[in-house]
Amino acid sequence: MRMLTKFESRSSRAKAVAFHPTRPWVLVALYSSTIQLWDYRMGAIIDRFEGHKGPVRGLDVHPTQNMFVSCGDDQLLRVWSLSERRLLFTLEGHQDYVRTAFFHKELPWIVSASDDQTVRIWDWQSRKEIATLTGHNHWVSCAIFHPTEDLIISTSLDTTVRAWDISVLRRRYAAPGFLADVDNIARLGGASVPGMPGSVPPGMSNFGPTSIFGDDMFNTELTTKFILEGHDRGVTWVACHETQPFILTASDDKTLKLWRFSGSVAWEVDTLRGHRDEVTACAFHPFADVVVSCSTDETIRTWDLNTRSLIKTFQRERVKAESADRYWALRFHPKINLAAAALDTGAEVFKFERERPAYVASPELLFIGRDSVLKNAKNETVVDLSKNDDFKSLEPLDLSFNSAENTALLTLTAGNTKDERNSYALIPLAKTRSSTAPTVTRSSCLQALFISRNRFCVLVNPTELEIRDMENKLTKSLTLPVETKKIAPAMQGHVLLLASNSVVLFDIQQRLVVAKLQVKNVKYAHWSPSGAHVALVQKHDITIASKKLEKVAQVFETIRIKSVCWDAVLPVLVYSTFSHLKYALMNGDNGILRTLDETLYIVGSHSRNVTALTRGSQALKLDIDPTEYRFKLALVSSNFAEVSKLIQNSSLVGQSIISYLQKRGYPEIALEFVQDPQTRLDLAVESGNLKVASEVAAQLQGPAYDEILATAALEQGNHDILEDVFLRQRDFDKLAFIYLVTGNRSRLQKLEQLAMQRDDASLRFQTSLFLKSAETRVQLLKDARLAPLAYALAKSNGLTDEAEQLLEESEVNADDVHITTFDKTPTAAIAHETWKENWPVKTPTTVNILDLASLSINDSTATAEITESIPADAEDLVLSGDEDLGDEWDLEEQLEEDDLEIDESAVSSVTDEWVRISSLPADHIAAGSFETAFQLLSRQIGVCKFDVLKERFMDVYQANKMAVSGHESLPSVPVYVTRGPDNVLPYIPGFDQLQDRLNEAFAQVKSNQLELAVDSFRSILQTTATIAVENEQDDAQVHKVIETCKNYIIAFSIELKRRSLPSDDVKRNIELAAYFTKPRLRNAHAILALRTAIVQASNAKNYSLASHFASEYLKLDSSSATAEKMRKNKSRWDSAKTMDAVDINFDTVAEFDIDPISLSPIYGNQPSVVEPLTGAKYHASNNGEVCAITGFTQVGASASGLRLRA
Amino acid sequence: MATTILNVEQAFYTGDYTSVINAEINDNSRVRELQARALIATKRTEEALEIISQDETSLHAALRLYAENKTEGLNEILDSNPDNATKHIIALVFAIAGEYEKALDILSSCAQSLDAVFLKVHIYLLLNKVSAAQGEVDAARSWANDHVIFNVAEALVCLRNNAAQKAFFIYEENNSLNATPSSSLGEAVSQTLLRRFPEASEAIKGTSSWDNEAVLVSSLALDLIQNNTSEVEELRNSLKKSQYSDAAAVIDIKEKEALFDEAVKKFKK
Repeated sequence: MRMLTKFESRSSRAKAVAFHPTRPWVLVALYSSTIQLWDYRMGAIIDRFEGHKGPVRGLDVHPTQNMFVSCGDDQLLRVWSLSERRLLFTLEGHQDYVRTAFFHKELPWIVSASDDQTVRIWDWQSRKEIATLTGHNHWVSCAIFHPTEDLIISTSLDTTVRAWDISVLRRRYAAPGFLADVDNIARLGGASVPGMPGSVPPGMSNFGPTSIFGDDMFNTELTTKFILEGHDRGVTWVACHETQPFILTASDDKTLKLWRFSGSVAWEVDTLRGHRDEVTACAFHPFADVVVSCSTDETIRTWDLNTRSLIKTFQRERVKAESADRYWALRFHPKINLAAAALDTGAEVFKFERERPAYVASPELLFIGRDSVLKNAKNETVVDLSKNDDFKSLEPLDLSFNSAENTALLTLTAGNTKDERNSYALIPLAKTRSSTAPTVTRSSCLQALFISRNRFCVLVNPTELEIRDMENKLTKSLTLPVETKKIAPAMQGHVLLLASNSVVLFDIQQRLVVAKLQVKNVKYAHWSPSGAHVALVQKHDITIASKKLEKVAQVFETIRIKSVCWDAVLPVLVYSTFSHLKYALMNGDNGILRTLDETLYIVGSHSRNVTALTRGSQALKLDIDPTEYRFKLALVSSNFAEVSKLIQNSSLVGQSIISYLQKRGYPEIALEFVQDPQTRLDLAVESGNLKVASEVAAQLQGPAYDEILATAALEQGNHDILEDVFLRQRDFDKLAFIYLVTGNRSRLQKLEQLAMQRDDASLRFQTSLFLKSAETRVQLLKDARLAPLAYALAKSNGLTDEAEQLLEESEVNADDVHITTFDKTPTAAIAHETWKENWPVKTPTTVNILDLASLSINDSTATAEITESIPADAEDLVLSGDEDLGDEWDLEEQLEEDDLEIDESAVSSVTDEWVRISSLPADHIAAGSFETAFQLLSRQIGVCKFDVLKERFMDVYQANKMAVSGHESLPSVPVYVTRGPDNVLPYIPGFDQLQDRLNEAFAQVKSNQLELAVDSFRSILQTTATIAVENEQDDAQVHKVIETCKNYIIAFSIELKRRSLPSDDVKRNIELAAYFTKPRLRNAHAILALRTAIVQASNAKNYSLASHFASEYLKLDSSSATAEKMRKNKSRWDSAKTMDAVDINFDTVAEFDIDPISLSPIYGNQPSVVEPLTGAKYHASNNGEVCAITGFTQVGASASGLRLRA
Repeated sequence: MATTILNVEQAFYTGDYTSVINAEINDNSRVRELQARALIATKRTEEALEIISQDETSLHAALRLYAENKTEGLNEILDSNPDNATKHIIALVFAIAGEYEKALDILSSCAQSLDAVFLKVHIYLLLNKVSAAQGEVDAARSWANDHVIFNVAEALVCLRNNAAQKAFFIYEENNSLNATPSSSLGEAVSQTLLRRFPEASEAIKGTSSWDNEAVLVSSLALDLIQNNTSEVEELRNSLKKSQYSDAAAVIDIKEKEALFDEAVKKFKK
């Protein structure tokens, strides 16, 4: 048995610990009054709960409700919510220190033990005390509910242990009216169990809400079932066995006592002696026949439940040599094999057993777990070693299998101390021999491993390896070149030496180092089925290397990697972490296959089937969906037939795959997935697919899209599309120029006719210039009454008749007109009629993958060509192919150090990771990937004006980057502020200040600084568009803030507009004042709006309107002096009985929205469009405008909606 | 003022170079080495050379090149199979010149040298190889004996490896032994990672005497998180000062602003 520490926290003295039943959390109660919440897997403190005055002594987390109870020297029990991280309520009643508090598993009860010599039961639903148990005549140190029986067991410094029967209380509790009775009794000062007034049978211990110090005078039905006496000094702790009638108590007399009970009889079974000081806590191991105790003698001891003998003593090194490290509390995790202890210097979480079964996966699966039974893939027992005394107290560490001799080689650890040597056993598996027990060769060693058909090697010490034959005879002894911690199999005649800084491939025959790779602390090595690659597993990383130990790729995880396994066919590595099953490709790409309910060790993977071992040593089969990695593999190996098959046949969609494709340089394939026209346009342009681009742009209909398309078309020399675009945009100048440069005279002439029809003088002039048609120009100048110019032009172009006529008509003196010499060259002939077909200037990377599929099947050369057209980094990706692709790929050859170095850093950059795993704009901003952030913002909330967001972008970018100084003369080390429980994504500032900023804006409203207020609300909207939150509640809050900002901005835009009106525009003035009342504002502000409307309406003698607003006003304010005045005015207006003087566009009955641009009503039946961020409604005619509320989003943009959580 | 070698080391590795320079412990080569390094780090090259020229060992030859910031000649020293301290300085000069791989290569042969571990950790973190840095620290823990260099190196890794609490303990302890702006900065950064922003603001006050890029960047982030608008303004102005014109963070900010403008142009509709 070994103690494996998983987590340690350092703090002041801890007095209690408790696990969360489902999350990786442990609560630690400190003597200094704080309660800490730690994530023991990450080693990070999550939260701290302050509130107790004085030391906290007891803690318990509810098994199903997300809450916990604490108690301490302030005589209070406090119940806290873990989901909301706050105090729910306190329970008062104890009159001295409260030592422990525990929840009941089913009933809403808490039992507490106190120095006031009582045990109390509380109902946490009604938050009331329901019973007090008195009887102990010294401090009560601990009280717990029995896990199965209706009993409370309590221990006291009076040296006794009492068991209380609470079955009556349970029955009464179930009866109706119980809690009401508790109330009555508490009020009347009664001293009895509810519903049991009167008769008091003597000789029974009593209870009652107020009878704290009562003796046996009063009645109760909570009888003492039995009293355990035997400890010499005070009893400190008690634990009950989950299934058997055992009670274990710890005492200040340095012993533990095991008791057994049956009905109301109980007796001492044994005393466990060994601790050298007071025993502070004890517990039954959740599944082994072991009990555990801890003491102020600074040790944890484990004892055999059956023989009651000491198994092992654990003493950890003191944190500080001079100060003691006493143990104060001990708890097991309710579900996982973990325990936690509280010490003077903090808390620790540990386990006693290794849970990983030792296994060998090939050629067939064999494994052995804690139960010492060797099993095969069908969970059949191959050899049962549990009955063999030689294996008693030995733990299997490693298994090796020789199929030729059908023999297993097991490395075992006694695990008593860190330094103790392991041993190995050769176990023949022949069926006939199953009866004969194998003998354990207890030679001391570190590890043993088969290396060939009839030889195995034994790592005797870090620098010495022995080779032995099947008779366990030594054949050779080798000195190793490195300090080897573990050995792993390799190809025939070789062994992998796993040292602390490197992995060495060692040739046993020639005693030579064949290859060496610098990787630290490799724990396991797994070879691919072909033997071409090896996966080296570290704690958080997997390094994939070739058989010459050249690094191919590396996979990083933030949590521990539990196991890895190669797929039987594809070059894919399947691996498991604590809670996920994942895959990794040979280029370092990885992804999640599925989540796991329990931790599993993956031992085999074949297509959809994964074989895994549980911690309970059972083999099981899992189904996975391999589509994602098969798709990536197909891409990487340019197997487009497979790609298209996967696209067509499976539901492979989503943001992640699209961004993956885009990032990896396959925009043309990403195009196949995308429906959103805007994204399609981007991707089509990026991949040069103008056909799709022009279709999409036509569908999108916006000058911005046309511009993108035009640029792309121009780059590719595709003037047909350019022509379409310019026609659509009615950009005739550019169109004319296109016709000119492509020599399309006929179209130019058509354009000239068009210009005449449209009476577009400048276009006519331009086309006539391009066409060199002087007649048209003369006519044009004549029309424009520029006779001298017309004359000059006619004359210089040799149009004499025309010129003469002009002279006559316009009385121009020919001498006054100076005519420059004119070049008489005739119109140049068109050398090349470019317009007849497009003039490709750039080869697009367009690849129609569906066509490709057929190509790659029928014609291998075609595929090769296409491969070339795939963007640059695809070449790196090709590396990830495996030997299955055939020898001609010659992977090792292509592998160059530099490429890998680049690839690795790309995978591991912190900010790249943010971009990779998140689709929140805020995360992309924080990563400095502004362009993708723009894309997301435009896709999600239709942002069209980005420049206003610049300041916010820089804020978000800088707010999560800090730095610390390290080694002198070097640049400082960057540190990233992260968010969320797993601390992966960046911290995004702004959420915490939203409320303050709203209040600030409200204050500006109050002080009538409306412009400022509107700016403030807008700036809040900018923040909300680029924010990230961690839970649903916060998400909802942000949306509420957006709604508020929208209402306020529109309301005060209306008011500002009204104030700027000329005083004579009475109608608009009243209208705006009326609209001002429409958006939902806070009451205090709504009143302002209504008063404005009333004043404006009554001034204009619109009395019925004024009266309408007055009654609205009175709904909000009915008691103030103003309200009184308002009532009077209203009755005056009502009695006026005149029609409104000014007719305005305002319906007092119908519901309507107000268009923020035109500030006019949108009634339900009118066509409208919506702005994506705030949801503000606009008239359909304002489609495509910049939103007047936000100032940076587009009205009517197609958008998926604001995303705030990753 | 530092009076023992231990004190000098504590002061040196927590960035208190003044105390190191002013320490009056005669005839100790380690102290002289640290004094020279402190002088170089604070750009007082002349005085550094004065100390260095007192001896003629390979370490001093390396320190001289370090003071003069020259990489030529380092390889010759390396060929003479020097001791760990010398190799460390050589590696440092290569690292300053940006030749990280070369530096790591040299350091890999420095067994049981804490200076080497510290430098390796720093380089790995600059290269964003956090697990490699963690590995260095883990490997050194058994023999490092809680030495200040080891603690500082460990704190660096902890900050990058989701163990801010541990980093905080280390910086807090260092600060309680000898309060320095560098430790205060570490304390403030670790508090920020633990989301204890008010405490972080309190801690960062300890850096006020230190005009340093890392301090400005970290203060800026902290003030942005807490929306202290006026301080943010002030810090951004401080970063524009000419002395930081070639600081990585400042260049990065400029680049990002340009990147933004470019992206705006690209997206202009």
